[in-house]
Amino acid sequence: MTRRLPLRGAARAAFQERSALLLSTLRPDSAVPGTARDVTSELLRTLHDASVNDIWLALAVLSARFPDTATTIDVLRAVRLNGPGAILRAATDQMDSREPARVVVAVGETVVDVYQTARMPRSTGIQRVARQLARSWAARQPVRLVGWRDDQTALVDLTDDEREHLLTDGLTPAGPPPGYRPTVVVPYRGMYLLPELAVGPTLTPRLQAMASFSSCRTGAVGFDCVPLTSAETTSPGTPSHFAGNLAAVGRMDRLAAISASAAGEYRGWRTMTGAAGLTGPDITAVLLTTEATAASEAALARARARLLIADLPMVLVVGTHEPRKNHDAVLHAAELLWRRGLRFNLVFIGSDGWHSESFRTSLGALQRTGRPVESIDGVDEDMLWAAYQLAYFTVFPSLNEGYGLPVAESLAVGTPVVTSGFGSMAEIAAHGGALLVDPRKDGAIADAMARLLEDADLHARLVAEARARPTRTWAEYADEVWTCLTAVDDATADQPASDAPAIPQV
Amino acid sequence: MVQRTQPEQPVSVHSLAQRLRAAATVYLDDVPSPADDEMRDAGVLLDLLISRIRETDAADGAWLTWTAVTGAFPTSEEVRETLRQLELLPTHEAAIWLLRRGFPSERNSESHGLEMDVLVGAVVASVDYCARADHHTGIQRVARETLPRWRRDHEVHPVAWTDTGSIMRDLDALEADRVLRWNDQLHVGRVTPPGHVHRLVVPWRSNVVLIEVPLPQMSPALRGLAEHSGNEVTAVGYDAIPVVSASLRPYTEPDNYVQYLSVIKYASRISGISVSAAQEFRGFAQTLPSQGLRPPEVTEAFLPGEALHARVAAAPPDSRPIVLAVGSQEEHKNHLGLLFASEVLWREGLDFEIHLIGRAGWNAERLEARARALVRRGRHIRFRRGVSDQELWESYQKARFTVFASFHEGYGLPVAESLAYATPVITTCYGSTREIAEAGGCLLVDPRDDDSLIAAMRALLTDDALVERLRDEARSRPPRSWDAYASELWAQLCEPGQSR
Repeated sequence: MTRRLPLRGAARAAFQERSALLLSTLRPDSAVPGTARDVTSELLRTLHDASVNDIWLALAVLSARFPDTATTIDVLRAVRLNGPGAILRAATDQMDSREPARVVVAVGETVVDVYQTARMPRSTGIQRVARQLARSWAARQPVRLVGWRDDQTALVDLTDDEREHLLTDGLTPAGPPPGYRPTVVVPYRGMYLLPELAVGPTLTPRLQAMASFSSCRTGAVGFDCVPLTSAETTSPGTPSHFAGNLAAVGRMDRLAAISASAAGEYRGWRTMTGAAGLTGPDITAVLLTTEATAASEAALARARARLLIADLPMVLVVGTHEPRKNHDAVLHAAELLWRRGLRFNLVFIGSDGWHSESFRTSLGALQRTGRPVESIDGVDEDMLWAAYQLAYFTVFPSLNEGYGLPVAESLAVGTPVVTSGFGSMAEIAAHGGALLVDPRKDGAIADAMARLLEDADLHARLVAEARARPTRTWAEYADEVWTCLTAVDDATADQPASDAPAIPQV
Repeated sequence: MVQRTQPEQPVSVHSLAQRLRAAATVYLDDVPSPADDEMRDAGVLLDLLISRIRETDAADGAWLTWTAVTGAFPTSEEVRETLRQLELLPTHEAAIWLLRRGFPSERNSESHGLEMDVLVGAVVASVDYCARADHHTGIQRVARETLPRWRRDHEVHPVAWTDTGSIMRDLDALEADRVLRWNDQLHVGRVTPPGHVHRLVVPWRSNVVLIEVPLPQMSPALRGLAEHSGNEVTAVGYDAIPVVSASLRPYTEPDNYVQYLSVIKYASRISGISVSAAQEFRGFAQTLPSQGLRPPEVTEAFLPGEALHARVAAAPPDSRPIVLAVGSQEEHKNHLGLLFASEVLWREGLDFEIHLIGRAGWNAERLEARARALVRRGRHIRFRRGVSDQELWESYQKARFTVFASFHEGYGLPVAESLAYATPVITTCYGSTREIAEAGGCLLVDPRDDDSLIAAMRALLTDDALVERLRDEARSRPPRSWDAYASELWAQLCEPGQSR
């Protein structure tokens, strides 16, 4: 039985076009009938015993909006009770009738989701990583770069401008031209890779369903689980966004964590998901890399004038002012050393984050007593690298990091670091160039700073160690992540044999 | 318009002096005799406390002294700030700095005028909600069955919190009845008479047992306590549903739950209410070395599911079979799966009723709409909300079987309850419900596979011998008592020897 579509004009045309696309995807070896009426009845016949994956595909293609898990299951049940017409009803209810998009089914393709990185490039650590991975993969692999629709209901091809900026300068793309018609990309029997952190109440439930039902292999880069494990250091709202992200990533096949420390956090989370009957992704640590960039002479000159005070050694702290970065402890350690008569100036480079008030208060108090300390924001990359080069050493006693980027950057230019003796910071420091401390003990931070200020031999040794560190390029990192996320592995790891006693199970 | 001015000194010198003496008594080796003047006494004691903290750079001393000065537990940040100020300021300036921090604020507005008792080497059980509220389901049952038994066999101090969640306080008589004598129902219809003056409770070298999940507003104080006070913090681990199954729960729920995690990451021991719940907390513990923390030791003490109330006569054999589903109606309990499976079976011609007992939870509207549509088709579905315990027990006995195919449970209480009445259960094939099912009386299904639920329900609706066999299995399940649970929990959380 064929129902009349409750659609008109462009929406009706789009729906008919999509119906043909869906039919040819589901039955790639048969010809698509010529009339819309025949397409619909053929489609209903094909979807008569639709699996949950078929239903996900049908809803995604016909409505150009990816369904969430609850909707997919709902429609599956409706189809079983009342036949496949329920799919068409749900799809016409959900579809983008006002401005229907083009739809393609990316059969067998590898799609790379760089939504935030391409759309809203800010230089967060995550976006720098995602951009490097996308560039590197796009240069060597046939990948389709995608983002999400404005309403975050479906994947779409990047606009030319988004793609251009992502792959070259990382600048903010222009908005789409008037009348721009997005192309919704439905991944199917291919691969979906997520090198950034996908969040949002509309987006992550749909991503979860896509990972479950699109018949694709799926992989993500895992940055850290700080909102789960160090919630006292995260701004309100972040933990809920992150838990939504985990609910989606939990349905994926592979996860490449940016450090062994991050992998440890994700493995702990995966252990937790066992209580919900889930197995979670295979997790591998692929340590992130950092390539040093030599600062320009102009930047060095600017930095010298701005950051150095006569012959004082400059101690540099890079990072957002937020409790997790532990900058209050650095200020206190520095004051203890100044009181002991040690000579150095202290420079913070970073913006104010969540709960930066106590840092601001302590900083102001020290400045009023004449201590050589300042905090600078809005520094460009060139100037940042100049600061790393000019610093006598850097201090980074964070309480939790997926990857302590400032540690790696400092060591990459041969500047020693005082950093935390655990987690990713200790991993990065394993090849030398750093003094490790307990960041929860201000005295330990002060002692390490004093040793570096007073012991020239120690300083020279750490500089030599830092310069001798093995280097790894972004391309090498990108290749390792690619292999980790896409390699076909017959031995399905992480499938422990059940030793539970036999219970009648239907 | 009323002008409010910040008082230039703490409101009650008397209680300040009392609290400082209580702190000094446990923290100083030599405590001077009280001076005649309370202000002077407070000043002398505060200077001595500060000197002692400075000598030892002791976070626990800073925690205790801050508590005595302000009448509220400090946050972690406040302890660190105190240690820094004490390292930089001369003693008399440090004392003034601390006293200023003790001025009445949001955190100590209820408590800065109250006296405090320091409990040394005690077991202190945090039971705020159980003390204040008459609600009595999962967590409250655990606390109200366990604490009277602990009290009978050991010394234990139940405490509640101030309204702002800033510091512990004693229980009034009514609250003590709610926590320690719930089954006697002495609290019913009573209210606390006005004028009760609470005493603050400050644990020292003690074990603070989080037998309830603390409210979010207690987290800053509890985190400060757990990280810096030197007290051991232990907890009963119920579940991590808000962060593990976030897509089945309200979107913003994880924000509150992670505040709890930020406390128990400093716990020394956690006892899960099932192997499955323990696995969740083990997983969380596994994340902690990445931030340089020593993870808590996680064990499990399986909850009992014994039936406490008298049996009623069985249902007449010719009535329509009842399929019972007990539990709050929330997405993760999978009631929609039950309605779908039922409709498939109704269409097959089977005749039965569905009774849904439990309150409407998050997103219950979808379930209600679906049920209304089925009722319009003549299906027998009854929502029964606000039933008494007695009605609940009767319902278990009248039902042919119970369905509890939840996606995620720390402990499936309705499964255990149903089995206690020898009523078979269809439940989830993993996690805590599987653990309960292992001793018999259940059919297991995958809640993500409707066909397995349909097949199990069909089997129990049509196969009398199967029902009888499962009833026999249920009757021969080894009993587990609250006595056994309470003593295991004590051994896991409170026996000395494992503190860090």
